[in-house]
Amino acid sequence: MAKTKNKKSASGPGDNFKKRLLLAGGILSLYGITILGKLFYLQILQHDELWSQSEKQYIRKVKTSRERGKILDRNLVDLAANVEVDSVYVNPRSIVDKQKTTRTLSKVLNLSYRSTLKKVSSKKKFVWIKRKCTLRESKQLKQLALPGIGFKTEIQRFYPKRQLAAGTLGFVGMDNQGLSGVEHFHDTLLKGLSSFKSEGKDARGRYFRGPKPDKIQPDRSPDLVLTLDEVIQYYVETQLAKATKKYRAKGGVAIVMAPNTGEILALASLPTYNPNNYSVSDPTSWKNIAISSSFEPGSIFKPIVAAAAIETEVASPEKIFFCENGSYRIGKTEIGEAAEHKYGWLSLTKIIQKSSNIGVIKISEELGPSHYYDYIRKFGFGSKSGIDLPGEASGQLRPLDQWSKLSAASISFGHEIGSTPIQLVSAISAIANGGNLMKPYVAKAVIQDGETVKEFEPQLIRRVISEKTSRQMVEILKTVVKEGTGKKASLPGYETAGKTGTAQKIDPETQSYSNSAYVSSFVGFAPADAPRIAIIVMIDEPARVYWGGEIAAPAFREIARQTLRYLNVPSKEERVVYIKHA
Amino acid sequence: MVRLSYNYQALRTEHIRLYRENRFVKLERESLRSLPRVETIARKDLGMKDANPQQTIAVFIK
Repeated sequence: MAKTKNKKSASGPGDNFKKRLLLAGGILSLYGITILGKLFYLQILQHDELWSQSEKQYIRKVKTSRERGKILDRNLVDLAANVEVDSVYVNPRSIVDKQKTTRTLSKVLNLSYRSTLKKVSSKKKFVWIKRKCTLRESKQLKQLALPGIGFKTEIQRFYPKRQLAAGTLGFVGMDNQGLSGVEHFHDTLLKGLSSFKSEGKDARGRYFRGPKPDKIQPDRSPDLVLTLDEVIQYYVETQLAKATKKYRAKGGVAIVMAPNTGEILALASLPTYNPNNYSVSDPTSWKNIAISSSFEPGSIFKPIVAAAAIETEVASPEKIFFCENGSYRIGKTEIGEAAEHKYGWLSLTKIIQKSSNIGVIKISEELGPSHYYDYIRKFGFGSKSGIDLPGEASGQLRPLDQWSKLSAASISFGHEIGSTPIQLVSAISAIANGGNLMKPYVAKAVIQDGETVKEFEPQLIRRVISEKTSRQMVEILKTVVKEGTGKKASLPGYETAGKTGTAQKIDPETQSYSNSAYVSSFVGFAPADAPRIAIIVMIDEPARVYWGGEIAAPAFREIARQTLRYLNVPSKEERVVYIKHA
Repeated sequence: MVRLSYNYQALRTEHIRLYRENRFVKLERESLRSLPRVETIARKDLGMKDANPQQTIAVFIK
């Protein structure tokens, strides 16, 4: 026992110290292990989650919208571009005096008080008040510095030339989605895409650096270059407006096409609208009637019959036909000539020159319905031309097995068939260019940062007539302008060729041909032997006068005169000088 | 480094502002160049007329 006691007394205070040391060491070790465990937990197990949380605190993801591509004319003049504007929103919870704020907002932004008050009184944190304000509105509102009012920059489509080429360009919706025209047809190409980019921010939320460079992306979608020429488009719109105003017409269409390629140099239709503010216009004006409305073409369809007859060798330009002295009966229907003309024997050339209805009926009879139908189809009638614009109509052409005894006769002078202006100008281009039906198109190229990334080439649809037939038809159509119904399309210094047309419209009430509503038209090309331009002018329901040769032919002449001068096609009256390039 | 970052941000903001202004001015120029406006000024304010064909010479460089 004493031994044991001695041992106890010998280990005394030192022993306690060791114990305490061990205890402290154990606690510290446990503490260390806990820290290591926590570190392991935070650094290894929770690494990804915590890293993303920290990123959220000092890195801010900013949504950037890739701008919609511009639309340019063939000389790279802006026809549709983008402009940054402010949209106004409110945080209703931050607004104390809601009525005062509403009064100010409705006054500055020209909004109704009631609807604005409803928005301002909302329980949400974010409510749009007005999107895409004018510069004046946003400037005025910013100066007032009202609490709870915020601004967000948005991209607005802007058409700097206003109405110019509105029908072709179309317009976009509030979110810049293409709704009409080229904007709609090439929306996939033009539309802006949204992406996110990272930016660093400090404790106060101020940007200070980008933590890592984002992948560099172009800030705008590709631009689209059109075949349209701003200057020719202007000539066309001016002349079309003059003609419709002079004759108090309901509307009109004019197209200028390059006959050898199918490029559309100008396309105009009236009534029109300003695409910057399309919503205030009558929605009927948004329709591009040059491609989406079909008309009975009247006598401008006669060259198709003549070309088919010459091509199939049924008739030559000199072959004569008896025109029944102005009255021809098919079944129970009696057909006469325009202006009660009475023609006897006429050659095919004279039939076209004088625009004899009975003459073309006789030609179509010799041609036979089957051949006739084939050539109508070959010239592109009854099917879409394939132009790169939305809403194109096919026109109306009944299948051959649905033709009545009168159909071939009616179609030969442009009735009982519906065709769009684009079909007619494409067909006359085929006659002018040696016999090739070209696909009309308005998109010429795609460019990105000034570099051409894609080009749209001319497309041959098919050969319709031979070069020989084409040359013969050109000679026939020249006589229409020189001596026939199209004298007012005659252009000093240039040889022109074409055909007049005056078609009665169907009266929707009586379902028969109207005696007061006409479509007056002229379709032609110049210079006749080496055509640079094919033009169609159609005036819808002119008042007072209605002959195509009186109304549409002068508009054709003025468009052709200005366009040829602009394209540097010298007239015979001009001096031409050749200078050798140094 | 931080100060440089803030300077960079300030310059970038200024750059964006000037870029927007430049774009806006370019569009304004395009609007002012619109052909109806140019023709009206040429004919009414400056008294210009279309040239007669006899007054024009087509020059082609070979």
